[in-house]
Amino acid sequence: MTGISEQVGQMLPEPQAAKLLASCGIPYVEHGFADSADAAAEVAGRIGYPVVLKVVSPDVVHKTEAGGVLVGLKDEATLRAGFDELISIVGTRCPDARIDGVLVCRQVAGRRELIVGAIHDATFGPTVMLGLGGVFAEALSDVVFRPAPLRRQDALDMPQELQGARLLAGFRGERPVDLDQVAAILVGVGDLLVSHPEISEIDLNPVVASADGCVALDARVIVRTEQGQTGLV
Amino acid sequence: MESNDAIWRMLKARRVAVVGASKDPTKFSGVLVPSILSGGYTGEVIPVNPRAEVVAGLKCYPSVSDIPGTLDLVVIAVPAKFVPGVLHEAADKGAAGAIIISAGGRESGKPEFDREILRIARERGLRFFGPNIQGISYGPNRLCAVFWPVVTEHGPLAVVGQSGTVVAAITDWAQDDGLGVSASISLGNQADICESDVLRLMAEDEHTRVTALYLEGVDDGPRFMAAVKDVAMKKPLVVLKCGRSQRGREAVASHTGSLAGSDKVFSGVCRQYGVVRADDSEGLYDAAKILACMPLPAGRRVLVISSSGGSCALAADTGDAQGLVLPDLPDSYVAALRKLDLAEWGSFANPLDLATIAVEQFRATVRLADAADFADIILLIFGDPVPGSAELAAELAAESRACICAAYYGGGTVEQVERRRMQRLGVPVFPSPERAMRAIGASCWYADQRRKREAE
Repeated sequence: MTGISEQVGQMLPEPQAAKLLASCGIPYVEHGFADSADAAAEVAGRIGYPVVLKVVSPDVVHKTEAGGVLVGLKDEATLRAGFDELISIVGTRCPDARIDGVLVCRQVAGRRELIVGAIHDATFGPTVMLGLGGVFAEALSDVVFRPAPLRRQDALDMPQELQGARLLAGFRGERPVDLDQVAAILVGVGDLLVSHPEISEIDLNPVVASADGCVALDARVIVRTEQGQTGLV
Repeated sequence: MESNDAIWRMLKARRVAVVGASKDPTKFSGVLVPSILSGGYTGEVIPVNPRAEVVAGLKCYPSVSDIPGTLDLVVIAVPAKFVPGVLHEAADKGAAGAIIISAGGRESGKPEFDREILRIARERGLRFFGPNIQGISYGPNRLCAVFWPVVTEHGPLAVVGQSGTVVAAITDWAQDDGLGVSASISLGNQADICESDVLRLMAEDEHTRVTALYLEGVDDGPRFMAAVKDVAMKKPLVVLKCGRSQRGREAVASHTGSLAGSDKVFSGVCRQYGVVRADDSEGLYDAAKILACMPLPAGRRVLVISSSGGSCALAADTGDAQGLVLPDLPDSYVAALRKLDLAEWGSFANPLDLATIAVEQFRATVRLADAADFADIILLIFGDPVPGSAELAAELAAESRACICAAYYGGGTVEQVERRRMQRLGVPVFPSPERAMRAIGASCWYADQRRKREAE
């Protein structure tokens, strides 16, 4: 029977996940790690304001709920204040969490958000998913799957199969989304899962999609824990 | 990959033993030999039952070993505990394999039975269907080793499934309709021969044009994917799979995992390999029917021509939902229509309501439309009794560039006769405009898949 692998493993820290994805050609939002307000200011100065801060902690799985995400930091003063605020809130809400630092990310504007993912289906093996809605994906449940590895032609079919496919075409003044790049991400995620069997699940959520390209703003890469140390952890 | 030669020898068997054939025709096991006889089997059927001398007028043997000469196939309907012994005897008689109707394996919580008979079959070089099946019919050999239904209306559709009831129902429909069946195969526990084997078999079968498959689950995903990848672009495959409401396991850490109901993953597999996915039993049958009888359309443009207004709107609504295009009528076509002597209360639009039951009007309208070449498919809706509609539809299907199909809807007793005649003449005909449009949608989807892959 078709089902989903039961393993719930360990989540790669976001900086490592981002590095892994980028090494497979998957565009990840411009970012840098910082373990102090000074370091954060330096990263933000390099990538440009406004920026987003995200907590990096092996113990915080749901960053938003932990108060570990701050958006719209428009200059160095708000960034520095934000850094202190974030560390303090996460410390209050998750007193036992180890906090490594923060990821400083460029803030990307875009109205059309996707979710891209991959799982090992218990029956059909490595499987890639594309969905609409980014953070609203689970509420919309407008998702399509394909077995991996994907060929580019198969990946190009996936957006057309979404119920809300029209959103990705020219809609309300938005130019059509760069579907070639959506396809490239789908192929890349599938290849990653096929070539790294120790990865059990991948979420890129959201992926902001526009006419000029697509970029992943957040990633969860789950690695099977029973296999011990892998090259990834 | 294993060769299917042994399974073909079973389906084309010329000498068949039926073990557990009862004298009592009110018992399931008393139906098997009469089924084979009424199916018109021309080979030799030999009942085996130690407590009978004659079954259905045929000499009965106490055991398989007592039968003189060799056998091709053994049909087994004895209690599970006797099955291993019968398999050994079948192998001694040179049989290619068995149809194991007997229950008592994994469906009853005893998977060790399935494993035991598989082990014996492998050791002795036998293949088998089942256990726990309603039976197998292979029309070209007139072999109906099945409780019911006996295949007497022969045609291009292979019906295969993990439920004997669904297989029987679709087989019944195809026979009642005049479409006809090439093979009707229930898979049961699939301890040996599984859906993937049968898909390959039907793809090889020259009498089968389409396979309709009913699935409850897939045991071996990679094997299934390899099979559909090989067959679906050669011969259309339509699948109905239950369990659409099931969710995947929730014990996952990702959003992707929680969004991945088993059904959505299966849908992705179907799309990947060009397998037509049906939503329900009617959808399975209708898609299989249109793919078996109508050439693949060149595009999605549909012209609907009807004898009645009511059916037009229903067809248009369903067409919309299917992503079909109902093109406007070109001016030149409307001008040509005006020269015909059509009823004044008809409408010159698509759907085109002729408001007539005269076959001459249908013929002229379709010929002009085909010449104007603005539709890939023309759906004829006979919303009234239209005598002569069967021959008309067949004639138009043979001569038109566009693909022709039909719906009969509200045609009373004339419909009952004409619908079956039309289907027998090879024009796919459906019992409602909606079902016709959904079938057209399936046909267009499959045609798209073929074109896409041929272009690569």
